Amino acid sequence: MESWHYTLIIVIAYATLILWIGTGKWTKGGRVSMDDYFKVGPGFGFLVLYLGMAGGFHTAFAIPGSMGFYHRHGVAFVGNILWTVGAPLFMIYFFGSRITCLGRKFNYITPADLIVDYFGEGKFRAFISLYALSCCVPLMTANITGPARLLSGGTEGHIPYLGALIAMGVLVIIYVWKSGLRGVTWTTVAQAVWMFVAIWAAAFWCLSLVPGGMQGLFNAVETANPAMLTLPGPEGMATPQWWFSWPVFGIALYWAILPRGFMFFYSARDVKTVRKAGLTLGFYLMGMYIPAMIIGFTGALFYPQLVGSGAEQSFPLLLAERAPAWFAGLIVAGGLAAGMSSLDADTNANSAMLTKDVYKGFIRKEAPPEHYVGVGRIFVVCLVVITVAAASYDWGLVTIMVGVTAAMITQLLPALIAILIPGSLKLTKVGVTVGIVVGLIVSLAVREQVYPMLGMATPSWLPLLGVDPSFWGVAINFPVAWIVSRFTPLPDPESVARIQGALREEFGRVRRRPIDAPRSAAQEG
Amino acid sequence: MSSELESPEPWTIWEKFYVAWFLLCFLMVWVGVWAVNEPVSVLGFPLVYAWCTGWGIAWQTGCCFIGLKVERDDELAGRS
Repeated sequence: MESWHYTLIIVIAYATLILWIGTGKWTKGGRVSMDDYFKVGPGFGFLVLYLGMAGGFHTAFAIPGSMGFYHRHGVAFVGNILWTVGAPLFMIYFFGSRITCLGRKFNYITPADLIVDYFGEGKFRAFISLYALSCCVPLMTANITGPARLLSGGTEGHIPYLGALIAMGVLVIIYVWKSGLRGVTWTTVAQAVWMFVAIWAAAFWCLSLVPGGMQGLFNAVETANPAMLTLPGPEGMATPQWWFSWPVFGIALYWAILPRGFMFFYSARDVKTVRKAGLTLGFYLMGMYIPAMIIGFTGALFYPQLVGSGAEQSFPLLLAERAPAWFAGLIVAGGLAAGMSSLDADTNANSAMLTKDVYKGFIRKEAPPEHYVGVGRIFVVCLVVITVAAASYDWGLVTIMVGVTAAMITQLLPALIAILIPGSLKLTKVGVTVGIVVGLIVSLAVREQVYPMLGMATPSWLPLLGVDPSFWGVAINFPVAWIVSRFTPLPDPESVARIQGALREEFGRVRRRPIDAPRSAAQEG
Repeated sequence: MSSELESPEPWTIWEKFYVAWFLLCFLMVWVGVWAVNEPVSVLGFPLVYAWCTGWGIAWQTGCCFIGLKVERDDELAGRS
């Protein structure tokens, strides 16, 4: 057998395992309904939710993207600690638990359910839903591109890139079609374990390639390219402004409020489960990226000629040229796990939004539950086909769009703060809409890569103060939403009171203190 | 004769610790890293990396420990 056959066998074993887990009897729901297909009605317990979120929140950026980042920008990628630790401890612990509280109490299915329940129904629902959907399709494309390249490279091109895309797409369609979020979550549990093992195994293998272990790697990098050991890195990207804005505004704030995040929050058994997941998820996320530096640095040592976006190819090349075939298979499957674990969660969430918010909201309002689940399954197929078709083009648009996705999703923050923190912000439907649109326009206007796509010269003042475009979008969104809300009708007070009452009932901190009975006139003397 | 009145309850000591520890570690990674931006090795790891990862571990472990205390207090108080 040729070496690539071993790689292929391991990948087939991985695919078989995923199909078995994603369609087994444990993925069967109690009844056919949107409530038990797009989310899990009875709710997941801690362990499944934990691993489901751990894997589901990872994109193909984990493998091989993060290694390419270390190769290209040196130690700067360690800034990701700000989101791997900070986001769960803040965004999931605080916001996620509140989304769970409202989702379970009022039986929400999509992110728009929560937002329009507070601000009011109408076309606003379609706006929020299609807006969130347009954020996620590029993300899905990015998630299938990296692993497909890894698979194609790992099999020495015997599986062509397009074949790898189709294989991944078919796998995802099968188990999301059959099992909805249950299939997504159970497969993601397995994928989370697989990619964690794969990335650590890859790091130890990389260390074996460099004489002297960790110290030897440091010394070699110091000799070859010392700029990799400090900020701002070899390309000068990680300036203080970048460090200030990218990990926080470019990742941490948007990452937990992606539509797929809502589906996990709605599918938690209770608020306590989400809070505990928020407290502990950072252990997994941080653990995933600790070894990435070793792999990225080793790739940079062996393939210094790979610069710019080509740096991402160093790890696949390292595997193809130096790893035993069986080991390369393990890592390639890890890469597939990283990409598929979020691709499937996004597919499910986007299908839910199209079905509940668009189809049920505007096309066919009354139909049996089976009908909507059937429509949702058709959307699953359509979304994956669009994703595969988009990924088959080799365009730089995907990379740009992932950054734009962060900027787009972050624009939902003012609305979520207004809903989830009673008394914090008084916003209106119009205010939120205008804030989102203006914030998005600003974040696009200050993004350097947008101008060449439009055939225009990039303005000399960009990047604006060196700060990530997501920051500027949010910075303008809040005041615009607030000002417009001063002059537009407030949400229905009954809805606001109902939602805030539910939050206060769950999270309210009130102390009952005894007070003395009124003193009588005689006592007063 | 007595009645009851609801009034806002101040944060518990563990909640204050949670916020304080979160902010301290966040700032150590976010701002403090610029004070150690030198090409120095710590057991083979670049100092910037060791600093951020070390504070990250302390951040995660500390907040997890304190957060579980908050959860326990809430359970004892009959809250979620």
